[in-house]
This record gives sequence, structure tokens and C-alpha cells, in this order.
Amino acid sequence: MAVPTEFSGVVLSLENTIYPDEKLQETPSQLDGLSKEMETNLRIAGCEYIQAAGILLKLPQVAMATAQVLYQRYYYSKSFVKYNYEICAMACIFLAAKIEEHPRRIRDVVNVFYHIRRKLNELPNKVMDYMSNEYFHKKSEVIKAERRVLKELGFCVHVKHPHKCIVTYLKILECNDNTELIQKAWNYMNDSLRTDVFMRYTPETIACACIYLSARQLGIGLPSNPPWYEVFDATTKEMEVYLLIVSVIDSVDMLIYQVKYVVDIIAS
Amino acid sequence: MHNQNLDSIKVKTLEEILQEKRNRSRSDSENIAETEDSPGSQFLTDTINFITKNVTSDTKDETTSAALELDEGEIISSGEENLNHIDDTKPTKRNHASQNDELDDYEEGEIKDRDEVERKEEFVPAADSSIISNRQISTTKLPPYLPAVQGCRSVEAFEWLNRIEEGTYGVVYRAKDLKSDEVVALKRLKMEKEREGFPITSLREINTLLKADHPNIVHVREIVVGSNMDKIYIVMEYVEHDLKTLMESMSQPFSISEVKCLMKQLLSAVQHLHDNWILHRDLKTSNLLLSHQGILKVGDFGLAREYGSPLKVYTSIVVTLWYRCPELLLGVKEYSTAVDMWSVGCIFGEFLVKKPLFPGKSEIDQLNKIFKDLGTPNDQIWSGFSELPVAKKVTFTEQPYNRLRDRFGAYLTDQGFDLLNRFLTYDPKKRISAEDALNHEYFQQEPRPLDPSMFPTWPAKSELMKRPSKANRSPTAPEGGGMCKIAGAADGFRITYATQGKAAGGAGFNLKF
Repeated sequence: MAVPTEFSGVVLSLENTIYPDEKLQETPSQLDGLSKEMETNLRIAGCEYIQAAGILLKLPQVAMATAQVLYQRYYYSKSFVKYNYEICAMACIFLAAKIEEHPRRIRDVVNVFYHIRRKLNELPNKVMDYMSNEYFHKKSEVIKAERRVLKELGFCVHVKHPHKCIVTYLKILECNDNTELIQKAWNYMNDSLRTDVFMRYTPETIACACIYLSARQLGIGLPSNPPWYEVFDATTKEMEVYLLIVSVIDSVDMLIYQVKYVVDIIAS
Repeated sequence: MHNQNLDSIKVKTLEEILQEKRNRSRSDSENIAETEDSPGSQFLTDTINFITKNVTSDTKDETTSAALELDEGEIISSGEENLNHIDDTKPTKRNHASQNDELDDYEEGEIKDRDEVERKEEFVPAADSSIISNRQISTTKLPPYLPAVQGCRSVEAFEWLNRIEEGTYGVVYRAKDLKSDEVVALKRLKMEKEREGFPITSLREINTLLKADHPNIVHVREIVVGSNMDKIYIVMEYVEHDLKTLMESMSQPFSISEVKCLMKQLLSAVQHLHDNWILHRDLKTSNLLLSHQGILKVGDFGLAREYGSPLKVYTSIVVTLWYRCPELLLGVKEYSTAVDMWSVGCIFGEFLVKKPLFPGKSEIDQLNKIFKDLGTPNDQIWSGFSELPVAKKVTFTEQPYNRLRDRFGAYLTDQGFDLLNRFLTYDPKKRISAEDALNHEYFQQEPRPLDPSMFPTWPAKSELMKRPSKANRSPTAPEGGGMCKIAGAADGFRITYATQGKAAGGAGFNLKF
């Protein structure tokens, strides 16, 4: 992206970055001629890759969540056409593992992705040759991609996740004993990582939407006068919550078609 | 400061919503408005209060979501912040704010200015983008530059002035922002021999520095990259002195009121860090900066990291040897804020006599020096001492007395000595916290702490290209280790001498040689 010559000052923020609509509508990939569907598929595929790799690397869920948000954000600055999605997914999980204080060796990351790819192509298990050019090349690609991610995201890479909000909010709503509700909200939150909601809404809003959806699905009544979620995020208007809900539902529907094939294959 | 601003902004909107709600229900049905809206807003306020309480107690509560397969430490710390904006009454924050009122007053001009600028430029992460742009248009003509969206700027936006020093993790340069003409410090992160990609220590440093926004902690402006992304620099505010070099140039130690002034600022910074779950792990005089306005700023977060409750095992090879506390020297792996407080005690002693308190040559020598002055510890004064890894292996010579008083006779009152001893308490559980130290009687005693604006000024060595003499340098912090010696200004930077620099023009110096 061209650096604007005129600006008033540099502002670093610890809050999750919320992108304006224009930036979400016209992505670099689409400017390069990639179709919207293809881009969505690549986003979901990359996130699935990250999730599967994170499980194999025995990382806590928060590392996968961070990696997926970084991956999504990165492709609002750079194009899928120019930057390989698989390398970027590797870089994101590698970086997120460090950010969340569970570092993994780059060799393990490369190897896990190699393993997943072989599984997908239904090839027999094989360990990558560490002396091979292929390994050496992959490794340096990942390190370069990691730096690109850091640079494009301005080193604002510490993502805030709604997990804790969900737990706290449910406690306040006196639903913290309902494990089914917590688990459902949790699943919605992890599914929503495949979408762009983290670039659109604050973690508080996302937490509210996840609770709303789960409560509705389970038929649990929550205070509606005033609507309970207004308490948790003052900046949220009802509209936003609904918009978010729609986008989460959309993405979940889409996921049904997409099938979590990567994870399934590994589980088998 | 980012956090605080955001807090205030969001809190306001919360109040607005309450107000709106009242208005709405009034207009909807005027006759029952009064009775109907009060339970509604009561619910809101109740819940807010509840959140407030809940969050503060929750941060240390470990039992919440064990079933949810998430690493507690991480979520607790991130969750705490997620909720920060709601609880404007969170006790730690407020304490901290009130304690800083004093400091803010001292440096009224500087801090308030920055505050205002930031408030204008703050990128408000609200979801409604039209609100954002409206707000920006109404307050500033130009939009802010957001590295999180637009990527890092290039280092070419700066003009090199000179090299200042080599920190644990990289070289520091003085440079000028070509856009704003401000002088800044550029710290180059060491990247060369990283086989595991971007160093986790640098990620920690950047993260902790960003989180720890405080008047007494060096302010990070942005991160910039070299043309190939091979070099990465942290852009920080430029502060004229480091206290180590400054003390070397002084013929006499600081006066008592100067020491108190410095200590109060240091403690306020340390308290802020600990309140925000950050351990510095390398406090020493060469990492403390002092501005021409008498403001002390803690710098170099190369070893800092976040900690959580319960404590996890971290490396015990942290903190520069002279400032390292006995439990670390004795091989404890589970440690906390007390390690920083020991360092603060060593710094206190150094401020008073202008010499490092325990300049050990090796870890064992360090322990011997400490024991010689403070007496050899035993299980009575430090429960569990004999079970510590090193204490089990080594027998130390018995020195039953605390002889520290002899070294500070002329400088310290009984109160001052009491404070020093509380910093240098063997048992980390009994060691004083930053908060308690700030409330210690010593700071109430005459002579009272000097106002920072009254602090004497010295010409800045860092603008003169003079490197600190090797012989007097304190040892380097662990991990980053082996300083590489890069010769002179071979890198082809433009060098300005004091005839052009700040030091040349600065009027009203109070030379103190």
C-alpha cells in the first residue's frame, strides 16, 4: 500500500483494529482479479489449516485464534495472488505461538504443514528431509512471511479475544452453570474466526453475539428490557449485533458446505 | 495513555446511553416514564458495578473455565483488558491515576500537550466507521497514520543524528523525524543470528512497552523497518540522560531530596508495571533515563515479560548481576514482582552514594557481597532458604549481622534506612511492594522530594558521540549477552556535534561538575 504523504501523527493502538467498510469491501486480492468466492475459500482454507496445525502442534486455542485473526488481517493489506496462503498460514501460527508465549520450533511448524498436505493428497506419512532444499526453502519463506505480517500489521499483533468476555458475561447473566450454553457460545466464537468479524467488531460485541445466538438456539431467555447486550458494550447499537449475527450465521452455513475437511481427515 | 483515553471515551458513551434511555422512555410514555425507567437504568448500573467487582476479583481467579480448554494465563490477561473500558472504577487504575496526578502536575506542559494531541488523533475502534470519520474530520484536518492498518513506516522517514548506546538487545541511535522535526531515539533490534524467526524477546519488549504507557516509562511512538525488512527499529521518545552515565559525570552524589524525587518516579513506574502484570526483570541505573525536565523514565524492556497468576516457571537467569536478587542467585524458578523490588533497592543505594551497592564479579561473589553486608540468611528470617537449589549445594560463611547501616551512616535517616532494608529483605514474600514503598514515611520526612522541574540539568552526553568508558560499565544483562563491538560511525550516518545539537542551544544549564 502506498504510504500517504500527509497525516497528522502516528497512532499505535493496543485495541483490536477495526477496519472501515471500504477496506473490507475492496480487498487487494479482488483488485488483482481474484473472485470474491475464491478469496473467501482461501480465507477459510487458511484458517482451517491453522486450526489443524495448531491442534497437531498442541497449541492452546488462543494461539490458533490469534493466528487466524492475523491471517485474515494480513490479506486486507496484501493479495492472495501475490502471497501464498499456505506460507502465510504457517507464518501466522508460528508467530502467534510466540505471541501467546507457547513458542514452537519452525521445523515443527513446517513439518506439520507438510504432514497435513500429504494427508489431504492421501499420500502416506513421511517426515520431511531436513537437509533437503525443499525444507530449507520453506523455512526461509516462512521467516520472510513472518516479517511481512509484522510489518503490514504495524507490530500491533496482540489480539484481544472475546473468550474471557463470554465467560464473564455469562457469569453476570447468571448462566455460568449452563455448560451447554458456554460450549455453544464458545463454538460460535471459534467459528467466527473464519470470517471477517474480528476486523469489523470489538471483542465485546462478538462475545455478545455469540451468547445471543447460543441462547436463542437453546431457547434460553435473557433480559430484553433493556436488551442485556447494551450493558456490555456501550458503543454497540442493536443493528451492529444483528449485522454480526447475520454474518456469523452466513459463515456457519458456508462452513457446512466447506466441511471441515482438514480436521476430519486428521482425526481419521 | 492510549488506554486511559479510550477508557474515558467509552465511559462517556455509556453514560450517554443511560441518559438516552431515560430520555427515550420519557418521550415514549410520559406518564409512566419516571417509574418505568428507573428499574431499567438501575439494572444497567447494577450490572456495571457487578462487572467492575467481578473483573478485579476475576483477574486472579484461576478456577473459572477449566473445562474450556484454554490457557488461563493468556485469557485472563487479555480478558482483563477487554473489560477495562467498562470499569472506570477499577481500584488499581484509579490509585495509579491519583498517584500520577502529582507527576502530571510537575510536567504539566509536556504531558498535557501530548495528551491533547493523542485525544485528537486517537483511532477509536468503534464499529461504525462513519462515526470514526466524523469525529476525525471534526477534530483534525489530517487523518492519523495507523500502522495497524497501513503497515510500518520506513526508517527512511528519519534522519540519522548519532549513535547513543548499545543496549542489551540492540544499538540505539538519535534521529530526527523528517515529518515532525522531532528528535527521537531509534533502537535497532538485533536480528542477525535468529534461527527461529522474529525473536520472542523482541515481541515481548514491544508488547510490554506498548502496554506500559506511563509518564515514567519511555514512550514508544512506532516501529519502523529498513528497506529490506532486514532491520527493525523501535521509535521511542528521546530522553537526554541515562542515570548511570550521568552519575559518573557528577563529582558528588545526588542530594537527598533529589534521590527522593528520583525514587518516587521510579516506584511509580514500577507500580504501574506490576499493576499491569508486567515484570521488568532488568532494572538498573543504566536503564533509567532522565530528561532535561527532571522526569525519570524506565527504558529497555528487553527482558520484560507478562506474568500471571498462578506463577509459571521462568528462567532464573535474568536481571543484570549487580541488581539480581538473592532468590534468583540461589536458583529459584518461580518468582514475581519482588525481583524488581530488590533491584529498586540496589538502585536506591546507588543513588545515595553514587557507587553500585553490590558490584559482584560472579554469581557466588555476588551472593558473598550481599551476605557480607546483610548477614547470611537462615530459615528463621527466610523460610525455605535451606531448600533453595544453590543453598543446598554451597555452604556460605556465617556472617550473622546486618552491617548495611555502616555504609550509609551519613546519608540516611532511620526512616530511609528502614526503607532500604525493606527493599533488601531476603524473603521475597516479605519484601516491600512498590505501592507500599511509595507510601513509606521516608518520603514524608524532611527534606521533601524535589519537584522534577527544579531538578538540575546537565549537558547531554548522548548528543556528543562520547561513549561511556568501558571500565565503569555495569555488566550486561543476561541472555542478550556478548556485546558486539561495532566500530565508530562506520555505517555512514550523518553525525552532528553539540554545536548543532540540542545541548548547544539549551539555555539555562546548571552545570554541576
